[in-house]
Amino acid sequence: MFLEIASVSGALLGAFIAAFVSPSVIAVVFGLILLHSTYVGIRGYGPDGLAVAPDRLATRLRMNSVYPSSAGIRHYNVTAVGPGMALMVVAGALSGLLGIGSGALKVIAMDRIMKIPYKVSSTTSNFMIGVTAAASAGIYLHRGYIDPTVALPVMLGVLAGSLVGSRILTKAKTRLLRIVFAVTVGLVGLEMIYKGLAGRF
Amino acid sequence: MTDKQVESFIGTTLRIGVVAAALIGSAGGALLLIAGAHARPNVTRFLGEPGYLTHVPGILHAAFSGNALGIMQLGLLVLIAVPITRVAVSLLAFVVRKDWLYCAVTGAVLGLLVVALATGR
Repeated sequence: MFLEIASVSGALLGAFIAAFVSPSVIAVVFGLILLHSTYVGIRGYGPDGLAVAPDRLATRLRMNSVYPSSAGIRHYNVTAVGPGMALMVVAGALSGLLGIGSGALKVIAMDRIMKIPYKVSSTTSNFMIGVTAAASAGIYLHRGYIDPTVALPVMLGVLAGSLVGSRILTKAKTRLLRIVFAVTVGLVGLEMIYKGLAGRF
Repeated sequence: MTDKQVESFIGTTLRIGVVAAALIGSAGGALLLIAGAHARPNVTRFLGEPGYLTHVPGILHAAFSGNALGIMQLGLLVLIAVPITRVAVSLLAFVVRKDWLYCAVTGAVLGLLVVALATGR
């Protein structure tokens, strides 16, 4: 929850900037972010749970906690809260700028910088995406950027897809999922960069 | 309230919100298709939405007077409200536990979200 302040204020900043930046720039930035997500998706994540010394701020905010793993309950410490929050502001700004949840960046902030275990950081980012997106959605609504004839079919499709997806998730092979995700996101990223550079927006 | 109870309550709230958004939105969409007017979205030029679809009171007014686009937008509004409601529920849970540090943090997040949705800045 604490990180959400940084993320939400970043999102508001991003949505504010979005009005002054050309769509081509946004498209190229978006494409680069997607390519980065692809890279992260393909490379995967190393084993986590390396013990780190807790940060003073993390202790103060009681961020050090436990999580369930195959080997039972494991304890983890959180470090570098300051830099982590700074990256959350960046993630929020990008999400406001591009209308995405920027989950990949959030995972990196938590996983790489704050040394939160991957299981915890990925599920936490899932929760944060909605909150971050809601911040910029309010602003887009006021600007008249939300067209119900476009947004509604998208919403229905996404909801149906995510219901099916969460059922399949438990049975699907993680490796296959990762590859499908990486390829899809990579292609979309390349397309966005191409269109941005070709001035198709 | 235990952690488990809070989590299951949040889970239920989220699910109800998402289903409500889908139902309201579909109703509006169906109405628009039946009416048949400009059912095909204009995506070749970006014009921006008519004023009444850009703020909460306007959307509510349009939706309750039976405007198809208004009902669709209300469905989307409910979807936007889902994560905000989640934050509000967490705030309540922290208040019950007298965890004042996290009350302040969560309250700040909720404040930012509500201001963004209400005023658009």
